[in-house]
Amino acid sequence: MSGRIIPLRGEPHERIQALLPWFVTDRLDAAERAEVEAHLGGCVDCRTEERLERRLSAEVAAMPMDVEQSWARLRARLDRPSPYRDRGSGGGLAAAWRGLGRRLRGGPPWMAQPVHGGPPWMGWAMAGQAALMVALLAMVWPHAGPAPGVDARYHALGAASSTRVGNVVVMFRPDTPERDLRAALVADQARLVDGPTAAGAYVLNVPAARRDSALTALRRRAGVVMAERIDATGAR
Amino acid sequence: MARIGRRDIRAFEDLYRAYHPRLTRFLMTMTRRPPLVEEVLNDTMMVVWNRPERFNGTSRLSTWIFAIAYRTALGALRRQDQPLEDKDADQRPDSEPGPERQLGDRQVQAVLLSALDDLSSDHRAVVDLTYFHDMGYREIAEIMDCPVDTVKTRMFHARRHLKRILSGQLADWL
Repeated sequence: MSGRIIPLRGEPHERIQALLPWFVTDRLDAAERAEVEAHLGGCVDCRTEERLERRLSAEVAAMPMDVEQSWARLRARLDRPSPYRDRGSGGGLAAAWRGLGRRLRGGPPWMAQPVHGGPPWMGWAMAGQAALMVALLAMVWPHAGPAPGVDARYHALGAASSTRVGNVVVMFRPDTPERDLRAALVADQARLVDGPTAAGAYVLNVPAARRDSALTALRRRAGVVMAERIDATGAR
Repeated sequence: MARIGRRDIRAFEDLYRAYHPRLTRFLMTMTRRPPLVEEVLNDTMMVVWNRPERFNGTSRLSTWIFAIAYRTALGALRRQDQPLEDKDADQRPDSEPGPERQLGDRQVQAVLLSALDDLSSDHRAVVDLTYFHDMGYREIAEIMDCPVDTVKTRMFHARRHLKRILSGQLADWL
C-alpha cells in the first residue's frame, strides 16, 4: 500500500486495537495474546472495541457469497455496460473444474465457456468450423513464400480473424515489458490469436512443426509463468 | 504436492476441489467481479499444476496457493483498471458522520456487502483473509508480499470504514 502508514506501535492502546482482529480470531502468538488480555483487563474502551470486533468478524464471515446477487448489485452500480462476457455462475465447482479440465487436456480458454450464452459445445463447433475454413483455404489458395506451417496470408483489418487457430497458451508475469513479449513472439515465430484474457493469458499460433521447441523456449524465458500446448482435438 | 509433481491428475483434482470454495470466496471478496473469479481461480491452479516445484515447503501450502491467487487477481484487476488501493482511505476523517440508518438484522449483511464495495481490493483481501480464512497478519503479509504493519494499517482503515457505515447498528451489538 502506498498510503501513509499509521504509527501503530505508538500508544499501547493503539497497538492493542490494531491486534484485536487477530485476537478475536485467535491468531496471535502467546506473548501477543497475553499482552492483549492484560490490556483489556484494565481498559474499558478496548473491551468495548473487542465486543464490536467479535460481532463484525462474525458478520463478515457469515456474509453470503451469492454470485448472482452480488453481480446484479454490482452491475446496477456501473455506469457503462460490462466489458466482460456475462457467463453467469451456474455450475459452480463442477463447471469450473470442467473448464480447467479442458485446458489441461489442451482446449483453449475461450472454449471452456459457452459462447454468448450458447450451449457448451458451441465453442468446439466454432473452432471446428474455423479449422475447416483453414483447411479449405489451404486447398484453394496457393502458398507463396512463407515457411511451412506459417500462416502469412494478408488479412484486411476488417476481415474475420478466425482462420488462425491457437495451438499454444502462454501467461507472462504481470510486470513483463512489452518488448520482451514481442521478442518472445518474434523469436518463436508465434502469432497472437487471442488475449489477453481477463486473467492475462494469451492464445498463440506457432508453426506446427516447431511447436515443441517453441514451448521449450517459452518456458525458459524469465517472464513466462506458464506455456502449454492446446489442440482443438483435445490431444496433448 | 508430491503426487502433483508426478502429474497425478486425480491428486490435482482433489486439491482443486478442496481449494475451490476458499479461493472462490477470497477472489469474490477481493475482485467483486464474478466473471473474473473462475478465470483467476483456474489460472491460479494452472500455476500449481505447472510449477509444483515452486512450493518449497517453507510456507504452508495454503499460503503459497493464496499468494498465487492474490497476484493473479491483482494482474487481472490491473488489466481491468480496477483501483488496487484506496488512495483516499487515509484521508477520510474519523469524525465523518455515518448515514443515519436504523437497520434490522436482515439488512446488516446487505450493508456490509455495500460497504466492502467501497474499499479497495487490497483492503477487502485483508478483511476476508482475517475474518473468513482465519489467517494471522504475518501469513497475510506473506501472501500479499508486504510488511506486517501494512496489513495492520489496511485492516485499521477497513474496520473504521465498516464501523462507520454500520454506525446505526453498533449500539445494538454491544
